[in-house]
Amino acid sequence: MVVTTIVLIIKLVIILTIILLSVAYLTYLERKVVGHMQVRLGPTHVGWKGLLQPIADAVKLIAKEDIVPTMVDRSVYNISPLVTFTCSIAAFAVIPVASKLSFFGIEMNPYIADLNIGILYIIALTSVGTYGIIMAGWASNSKYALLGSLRSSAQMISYETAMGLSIAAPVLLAGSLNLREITMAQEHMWFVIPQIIPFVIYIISALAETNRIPFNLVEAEQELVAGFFVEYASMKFALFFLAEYANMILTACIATVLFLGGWNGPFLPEIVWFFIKVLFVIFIYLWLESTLPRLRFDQLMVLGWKVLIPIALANIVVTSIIIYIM
Amino acid sequence: MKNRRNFFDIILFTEIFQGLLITIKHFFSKPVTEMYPYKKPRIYPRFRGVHYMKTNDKGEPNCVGCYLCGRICPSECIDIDTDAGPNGERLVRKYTIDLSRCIYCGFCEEACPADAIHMGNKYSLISNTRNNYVVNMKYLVENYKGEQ
Repeated sequence: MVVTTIVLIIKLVIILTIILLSVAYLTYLERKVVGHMQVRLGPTHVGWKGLLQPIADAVKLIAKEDIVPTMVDRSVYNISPLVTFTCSIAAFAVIPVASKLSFFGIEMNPYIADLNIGILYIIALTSVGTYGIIMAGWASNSKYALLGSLRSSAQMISYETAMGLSIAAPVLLAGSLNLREITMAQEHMWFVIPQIIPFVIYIISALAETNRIPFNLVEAEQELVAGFFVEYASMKFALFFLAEYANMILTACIATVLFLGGWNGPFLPEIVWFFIKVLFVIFIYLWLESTLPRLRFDQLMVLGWKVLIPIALANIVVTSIIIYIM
Repeated sequence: MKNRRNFFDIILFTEIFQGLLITIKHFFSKPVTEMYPYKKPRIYPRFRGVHYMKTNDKGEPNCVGCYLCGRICPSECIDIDTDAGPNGERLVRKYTIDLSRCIYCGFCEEACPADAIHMGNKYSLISNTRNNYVVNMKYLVENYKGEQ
């Protein structure tokens, strides 16, 4: 009992550290990739090739003064970054990075929890994370923050539907909601091959869920200054920032598990395959980010309700019929 | 309805893929960034930097004290004072340029009849007082040595 608890705590610490570090280095990756796509260099000064830049940024953010504006709703204002951050970090608990891991001869499960409703758990947590954004916008007592959070809630509701429907297709194929079993069902064929349409829908709605560039109306700099977190400073701002990038990694992980076959792959160790695929999906995000302009709000709604949801629904119907016949 | 797009263009995202192709081409092209403080920037032939004063073979400045550069200067930053020498020739007693006022237009160089004042390639000027930006003939002649 004690041993399992200690192992669990060690695992938690390791996974949290990995997530936070990868979130920090995701900002570095983003700046480098977007920089090179704009024929610039990106960060080069701090450390070798600018590799210490995320650490410097983190230190700066932590050391900053924590400003709380006078007119805010204090308790809600303080809770909302925690809600967003906790939800996006907690969702990583069910991501299986490999089938088995062994450290110094000790066999370990490469995930914290093996829930039989894994994918539902993730969808639920990301939806709860939206509450943090809405709370932040409302508590900030600022028009930009409020507009940003209103847009965010509308966007989340429309795109969560499309995302859930596109996730349903691989779940139907695998016959399970458990992420580990879904991965194991893809041993012979990745689900991206029969389910390319939901994969595209998933990528689009994941971009909308994480407020990345073609859909970043929530934090449109030119219109809303920074969106729902304008009034936040220091560590609270950093929590929102971390949550946003953690969500980006999370959606990439889900895409990997559901469509790209998770840890399955020849030659290389399973965990390496998993990280390669996650990085590939993140690279696609950054690539789209540096290519596409932002959508107008009505275009966003039209795309969500009139295009993505009908296609995803039709795909589910066709998939279910085919599975029923076979 | 002429600008209606092709149906296949819409469902296959052709336009988005064209855009993605452009960005990935840029991704692999060489960045245009100049690493300025570490590497000197390229100086082009007609660059107008800090002035210098040409000298003759004996090391005396070519300036004849005609006041033309001070007259044409739009920001009035050139200050000249002349005096009569023992043989009736004109001596330049004072020739200062206030570099903090100078707009580096190059008019003085064009106006000069004696091939004396010129715009050089030097661009880095840092000082902690304004007085240090007022430079005299000695500085300009020194600059000429640096330009050669």
